[in-house]
Amino acid sequence: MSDLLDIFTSAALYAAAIRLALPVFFAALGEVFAERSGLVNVGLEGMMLMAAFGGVLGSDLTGSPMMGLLLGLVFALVIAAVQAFVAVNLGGDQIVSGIALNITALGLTAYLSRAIWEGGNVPQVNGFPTLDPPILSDIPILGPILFEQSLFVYIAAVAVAVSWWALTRTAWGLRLRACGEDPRASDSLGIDVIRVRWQTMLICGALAGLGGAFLSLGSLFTFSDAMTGGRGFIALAVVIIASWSPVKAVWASLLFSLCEAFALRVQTSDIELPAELMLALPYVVTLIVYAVIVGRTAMPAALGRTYVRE
Amino acid sequence: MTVRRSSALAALVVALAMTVAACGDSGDDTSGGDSSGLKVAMVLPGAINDKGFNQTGYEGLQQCEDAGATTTYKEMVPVPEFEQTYETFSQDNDLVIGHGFEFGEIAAKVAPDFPDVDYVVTSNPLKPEQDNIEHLMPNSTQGAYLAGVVAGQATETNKLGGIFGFDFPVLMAQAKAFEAGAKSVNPDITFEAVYLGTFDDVAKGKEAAQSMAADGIDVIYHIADAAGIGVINGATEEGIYVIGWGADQNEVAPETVIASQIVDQAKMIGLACQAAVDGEFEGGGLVVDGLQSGVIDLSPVYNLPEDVQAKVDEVKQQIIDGEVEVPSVGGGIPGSGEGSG
Repeated sequence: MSDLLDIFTSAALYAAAIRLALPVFFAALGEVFAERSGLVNVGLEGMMLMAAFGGVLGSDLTGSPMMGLLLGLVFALVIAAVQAFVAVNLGGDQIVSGIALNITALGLTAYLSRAIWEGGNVPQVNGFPTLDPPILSDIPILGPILFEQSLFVYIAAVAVAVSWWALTRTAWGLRLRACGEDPRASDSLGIDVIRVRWQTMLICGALAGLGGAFLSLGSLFTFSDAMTGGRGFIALAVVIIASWSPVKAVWASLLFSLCEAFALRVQTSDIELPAELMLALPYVVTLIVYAVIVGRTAMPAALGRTYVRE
Repeated sequence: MTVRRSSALAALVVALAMTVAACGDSGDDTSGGDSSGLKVAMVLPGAINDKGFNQTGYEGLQQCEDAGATTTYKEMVPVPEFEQTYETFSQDNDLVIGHGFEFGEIAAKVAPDFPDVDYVVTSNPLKPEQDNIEHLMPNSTQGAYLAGVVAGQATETNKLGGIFGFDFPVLMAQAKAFEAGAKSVNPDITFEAVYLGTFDDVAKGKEAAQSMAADGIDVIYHIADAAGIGVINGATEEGIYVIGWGADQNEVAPETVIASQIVDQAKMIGLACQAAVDGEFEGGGLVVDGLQSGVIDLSPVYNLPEDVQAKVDEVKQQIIDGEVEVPSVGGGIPGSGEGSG
């Protein structure tokens, strides 16, 4: 058992959990905005993938990771705009269009990476390397875990604070949540439901895009097919476990990623457990947590329901 | 009325998405040089640009084209689509190549329905039962053993790691051979294996490498295809060594990749195609090729003292001469030589 203790007392485990949580967290935070306003966006995976691809393309073309990030966000926003148009303006089925966009993004990025780079050999590009801030990273234990991280960790910290404030402490946040609870009543009170839902979908696209761009520009500095690895779907589960709260989304994504980081470490330890069991661990734990808290969460009442103005 | 119009629109979006996805997933290179009329199709489990297993398969298909065949392929084919893909390809091709041992079962199932079509399954150590199927097995454990010889000499902590996509028997056999090779030059080493459960998730591959580095492991051997790029990336960040797999991966990260196990599936596939073009395809057999023919090899050793390379050359010759016994892939796999799959 001392081996188990070794794993849980190692700072590297927690640093890894934060790295692994990051893309899931960004996507989940974006989804909180969309779902609070009544939109279910299952197209997170596609948005992330497009941003990951756009990031590498932009950085490769200009040599600047910042330009890459911008192009990645634009790509994710294009997907978000299509999703918003179908789901909000046309009143189409949100699940169907989300799935369609995921498939589109998967095929499109694979196709474009072969069309742009000979034989699909995507190069290594300039990205945002891990930071080593003076003073902060010298703090024992916490320094390496919290501060010797990607720039994106700092962005995430700001994003969660701003999101919490915007959703719960502003009139805009109140109107947004009203649209998610009862769009008809909101409309009759003069809230422009279409406008609000367009806003949340675009915010969702930008945040999911940050998650995807972190994978390509903040971690791997290249693009490969389907590199998001289903993290956009995990984010959907994280939102439910987090009960649609930005702050709880931090903990929910960390819970998942901690299991993931633990599963990788336990395989090299003396603890003899089947690898398959370890690989399933993050999903099993997520499912258990969901089973425990289901029914006690505050799901927006009008979630996923199309609002057609009369 | 609005609702009806919108669901029709949603259906259109799905249809469009499928079309785009299909474009990304398959290629149709019907530009064979001097076309012999032989039509070859390949089914690949991963992406043709993964700098590993699937890429060598795709290069093999290009050699088929050089041999005069007309070729087509479908990449990233998920398990539920194996059978449908096989049936579709069988209808208008002369030779269907499944790249990876996992296609053995489905080839055996489909082959009786298409007696005029020949089937090749790569990386499959079993002897096929039907006479229109040929299995190609690169004797990859020989290369894995040599990779171990390098790793055993390169390590300073005496801790080696292996990162693998899945616990496929073919991969586990190579892990064993790697460990044996390392122990032959350095009896003090320990070896830990990690299975990712994916060949595509680059981020997970990187994380696995970083986790191993934190554990004191300083040389990692990977068989993880696209995820292996993440392994190399993570190892570079941590300043430890990687032994690549498939092609020479030194160019991915020149300081990190000290050697690569070459598995030239392309050559094996090309040879099988040449035979088919010449009308000499021999079904019902298992073709095993290794160090002798160059299908299996070790890349040059980089960044290490010259005596490491010398030791590799020495052991390589000993394996070819049969003086060093390397456990073959077929050995130790339950049920090898019987049944299919």
